[in-house]
Amino acid sequence: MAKRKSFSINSSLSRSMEETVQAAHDFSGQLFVEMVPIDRLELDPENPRELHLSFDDVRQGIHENDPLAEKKKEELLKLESLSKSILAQGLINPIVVYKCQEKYRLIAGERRTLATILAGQAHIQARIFEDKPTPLNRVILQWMENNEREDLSLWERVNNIRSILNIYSKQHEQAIERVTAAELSDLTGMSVSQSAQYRLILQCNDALFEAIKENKVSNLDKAAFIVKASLKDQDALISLCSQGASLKDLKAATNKLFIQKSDSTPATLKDLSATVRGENTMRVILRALMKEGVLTDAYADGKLEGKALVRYFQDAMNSIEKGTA
Amino acid sequence: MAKVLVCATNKGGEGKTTTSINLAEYASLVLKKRVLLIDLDPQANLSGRYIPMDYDPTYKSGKIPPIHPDYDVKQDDQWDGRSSIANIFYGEEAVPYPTSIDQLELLPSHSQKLLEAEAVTKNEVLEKVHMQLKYFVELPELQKSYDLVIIDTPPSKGPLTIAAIKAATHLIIPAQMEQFSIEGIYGMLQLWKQESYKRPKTAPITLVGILPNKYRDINLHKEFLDSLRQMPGIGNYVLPNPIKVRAVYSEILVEGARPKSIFELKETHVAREECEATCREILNKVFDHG
Repeated sequence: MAKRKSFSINSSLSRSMEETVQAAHDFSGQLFVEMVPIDRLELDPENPRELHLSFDDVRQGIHENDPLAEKKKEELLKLESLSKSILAQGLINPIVVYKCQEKYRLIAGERRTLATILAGQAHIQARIFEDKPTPLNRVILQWMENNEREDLSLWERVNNIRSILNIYSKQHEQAIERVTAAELSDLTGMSVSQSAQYRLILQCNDALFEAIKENKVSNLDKAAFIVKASLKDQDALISLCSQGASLKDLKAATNKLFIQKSDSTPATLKDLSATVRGENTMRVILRALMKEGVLTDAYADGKLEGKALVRYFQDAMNSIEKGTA
Repeated sequence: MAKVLVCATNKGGEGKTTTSINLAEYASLVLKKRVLLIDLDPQANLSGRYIPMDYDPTYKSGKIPPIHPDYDVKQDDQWDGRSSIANIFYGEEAVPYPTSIDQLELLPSHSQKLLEAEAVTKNEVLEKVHMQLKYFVELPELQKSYDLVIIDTPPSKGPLTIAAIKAATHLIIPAQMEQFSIEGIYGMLQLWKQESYKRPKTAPITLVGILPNKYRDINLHKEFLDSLRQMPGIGNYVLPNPIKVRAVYSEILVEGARPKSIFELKETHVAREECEATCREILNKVFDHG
């Protein structure tokens, strides 16, 4: 007897359809763009300013008596190329605002707004949110907007991520360090490995922070690599980085630094003072080396303690490395 | 605000035109709503049901609307007497035609002009085609004259279909329960999603549903319909009453047929009951009656 035929919609098509409908629900209205009169825009008082330049400075010119005149003129000069491109091609990436009574408050796009005013236009394309975004949504939106920009420094990016983590960890009542790279990746849309790098950098020491701030270390991969290096090596790596070393150079330098170190105290020694099943790790190693006949000097197990044991272990390792053991 | 219901899928032969006709006639004949039917399909089949379309002498197998009944050759020296929905893409006025049904008016197709609009590829012109229909249905005179605008679309995802989706307040996707048709549903869901992203929250495009059409009691149709209904997120959008394959749906489309509309059949006729149930379901959602 012939088998009854059976039909179903293939799983990849049905999954794609489900995802499409879900996305339509989740993101409806998110790309709504409208022309907004610039004179109805205002800065968000809760949002820290990036620039000293005000809307009026661009409209009416910078006042000579203004104590910030020099800085503002510099900023204005930097806006000129964006302003020209707005005149020629229009604004490619709309600004983001939310409605606040009769006004629209800026979430992201301060430079674009100033450049549009500079271009002599009265309206600007904006994505409009009906309501004020929650603090977490606001920092994430700012992150997404800013992350598109190539001119954003690593320091600015690290600080953006820090604000996101601060708000997120407060909301979830957990320590910042407990926020996983996967959670950060979900929040920002970055890859998990990138998120992990930012997490690492946020836990780095003051010297590296300072170097990132001063733009001596300006690349995420390099900064994450330096954080992972031993504390002692970090200064040397930072200085190499500020001289323009590539990630490959840094890796090569680390290998060299490690070899040089073998003459002095191994960087990992302090970890060896940990205990394994109640026993000092150095003792376990020394006993094993004796048993194997690698150590020829008599080693009186159990008699050495504290610094004396460390010194003995250090000498033993040095002589093994030099082949004199 | 007048509601704008668009019947669309990029796959041909799914019953877009027949569904548009049935919805327009139900709304005007049964619900007594003032309806404007727009034929965006260059094939002009829907237009031919209500007005005798002329063959285009300049365009092989193309159709053009007849001379408008209100045209007065002595008074209208700026107008050639014919009007189609294609006019709006050329910056011209579009004048709806009356039909044999009170409360139902038609803006017919114009094969060549619509095909030209559909073939637009240049970005700046494309933008104009996309937005034109939206601007047209939002005109105050149009909003005052009709309760419901129904737009029949060509089987494509091209500029005309996108223009219709941009103008729509509501969308309906008719589909057979077959492989290519389900792929057509997916194509339309994508357009709907893209449009939803861009709409303000205050003026959404509502997906009224997927209408299982030309349904037969065969395993393929049953199982595809079951699969669709069981898909999380999609199931809610599948309309409860499939429209079955019946001779009468084709018969009423024949010129000079009696009766001419499904809604002129006896109330107990199985096709009328089936069709009414679906039209009621759809238009209840459109007019927000639950």
